Amino acid sequence: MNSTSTNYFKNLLIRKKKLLFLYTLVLFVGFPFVLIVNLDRGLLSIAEGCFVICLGVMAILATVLPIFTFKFSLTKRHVDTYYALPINREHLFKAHFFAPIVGALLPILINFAIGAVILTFDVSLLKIFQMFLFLLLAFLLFVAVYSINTFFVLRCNSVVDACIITAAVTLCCVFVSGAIETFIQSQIVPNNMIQMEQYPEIALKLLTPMNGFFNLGETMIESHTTWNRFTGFEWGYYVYYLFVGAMAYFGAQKTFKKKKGEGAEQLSEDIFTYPLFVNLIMICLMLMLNLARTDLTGAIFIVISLFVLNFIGNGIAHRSMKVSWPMVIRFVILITVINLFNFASKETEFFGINRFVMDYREFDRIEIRNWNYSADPGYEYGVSFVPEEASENEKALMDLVYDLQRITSLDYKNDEFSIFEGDIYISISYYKDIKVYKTVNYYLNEQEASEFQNQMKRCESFLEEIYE
Amino acid sequence: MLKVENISKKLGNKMVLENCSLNVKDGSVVGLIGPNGAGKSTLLRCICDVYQSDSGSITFNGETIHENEYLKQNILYLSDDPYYMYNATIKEMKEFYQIFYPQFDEEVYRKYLKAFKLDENKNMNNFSKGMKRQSFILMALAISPKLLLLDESFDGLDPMMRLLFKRAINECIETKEMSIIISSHNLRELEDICDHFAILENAHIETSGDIDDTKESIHKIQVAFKEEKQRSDFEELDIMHYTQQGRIITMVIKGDIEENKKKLNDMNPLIMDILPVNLEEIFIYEMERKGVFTNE
Repeated sequence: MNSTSTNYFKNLLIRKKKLLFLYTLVLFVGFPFVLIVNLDRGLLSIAEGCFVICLGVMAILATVLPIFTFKFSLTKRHVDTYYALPINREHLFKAHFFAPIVGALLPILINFAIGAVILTFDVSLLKIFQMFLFLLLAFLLFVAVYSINTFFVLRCNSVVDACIITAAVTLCCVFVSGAIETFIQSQIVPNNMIQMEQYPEIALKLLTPMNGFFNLGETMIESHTTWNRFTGFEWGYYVYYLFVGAMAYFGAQKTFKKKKGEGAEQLSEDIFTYPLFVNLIMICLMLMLNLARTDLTGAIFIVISLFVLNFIGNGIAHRSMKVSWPMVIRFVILITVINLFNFASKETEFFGINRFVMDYREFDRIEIRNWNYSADPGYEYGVSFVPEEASENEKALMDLVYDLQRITSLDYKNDEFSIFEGDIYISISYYKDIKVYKTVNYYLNEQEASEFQNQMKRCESFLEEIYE
Repeated sequence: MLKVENISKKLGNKMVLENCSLNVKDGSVVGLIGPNGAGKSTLLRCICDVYQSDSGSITFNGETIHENEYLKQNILYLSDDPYYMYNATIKEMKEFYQIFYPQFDEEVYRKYLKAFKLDENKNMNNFSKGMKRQSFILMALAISPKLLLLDESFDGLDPMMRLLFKRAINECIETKEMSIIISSHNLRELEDICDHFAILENAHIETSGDIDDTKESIHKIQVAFKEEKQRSDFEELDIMHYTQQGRIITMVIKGDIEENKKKLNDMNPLIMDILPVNLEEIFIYEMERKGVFTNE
């Protein structure tokens, strides 16, 4: 930065001196002052509470500040003045990018320093140092989230679009995660053999660096009693957020340098604005509302509803409520592709995943239970064995599980998976490190159950209990 | 010297500027005129680097303006509605401009602040349109750039202020060799201050030149003949505009006045008067000639 940009950077901060003073004062009342009035109580818990609130403030600021900061590149009046100024685009970007970071974080740091002095009355220096490290991690995360939002704001051409796209960036993770969860739930055989519930959570965490703030808060509270541990802190995700933030920073800088003055107040047609989010949300909704698993009336209702939503989304993007052929064609292609994918998934039994059976040899112990209390007489059969020491009959029993899973998967594919009165219930528990790793359930008809029960009875570890 | 060479600019699907060229000498004042939507503001924005032209080049004193921080310190663009920070005072705007224009002259600022009777500590939000314009003209005078681009900056100024501004500008031109490009719809105002003009129409600079030279080559002549004449009787003349009321004919003619007078005298007119023609008329007749509108 040269002297002009340095002076401008200072000017940006000085210009907001009243606001900064007020913000610093609020933070003072919210942290050091609260500590002062609670000197006779556990200061650490109060400090942790304040820290969590501070994380929330940072998350909000990282979301809204880019809109205020880069508003000048989104309105014609601002553009006419700012782009004509004798400062090159890179310097202009840097001054505007870093000034709010300093303005948002410096008051927090100052108040933390004051609070840290008060904390020394009740909390060890090492614990305060740990809090300081948490604060630095939060600062870096703030910059990452701020960079990501800045990138998207700069891709927009108007303030309204910037607000809408920022909201979409913040909330799209919910749609994606929800779509993945709904899709998996609709495709996977609900007998617990295949577990994929971690994927929606992974998608959620990957798509929202905001998760980093939650995780930091959780870690802070989890590490209450220690000073040298970051229990539960997801370093992998944290590093990923910083990486994405760094990429977003360079992307934002490049975008700003290439941003055309005449684009201000025009439609935002950049790929990273409406085209991305309208289509992404439509794909998510189409995945959630699977036409293959509903009747014709339901399918028609879903298609109409999706089309209306697509129409509204495009209407907002183009500021015009007109049905155009390209829009209709795009919608038709999208809904066809997604439903073909849904159909292919169903027909291939979720791409073969539904036939998957866990290898029992990887577990410490297998426990199989089969009971029917409503039978006359009621009974409960059980087999329990260690896989390493499994007999041939026990191995043959486990081979039957493959057949059961195959039948269940086929039933599910043919929409015949349901529980009937008189079905016989079998549960298989897989143990690892003494704990139950997973329990898989099957509901069998009399014929299937009979074959399975006969094999159970042949096992050496077979136990039975009869209820008269 | 500002040199605009063959620049073209497309906004959306519309070609706003096409192969436009313009030279502005040091110390000259160019009036940029043209109908609404002709591309005047776009041309000014291209010059000051708000827009980047699609083709062609814009140089000031031989250097490209685009992203040239040092060079841009000598160029100031005042749009028709300049931006000021929310709740800012003139003093704060002065501080803002001082950062970017190190040559900002505090003395000139004080002088014209007093002349314009503005309070530097008052919030600009509460200013009238004219007062806001005065404030920005004040900044322009204090900055005194080598090239000042004014986009309809006269609008909203009262006659006294216009006069004051014109004087101030003349002072700047004399002392600092400032070049100015002014776009305005008020052609009478431009005539008083400009020495050159450029007519922008249909994405092209249709006509440009020295106002005095143009005035000397365009004449409004009123003639009357014994017998009634038709326009076709004057085919030898380069007529820009022709009106006839009975035997009295008013013509705006291009070309050497003596030659034209001789041609008309040969037709034995009863009376022949040479009337003054102003910039506004030149613009109107030029537009009429291009077929932009008819002025009957």
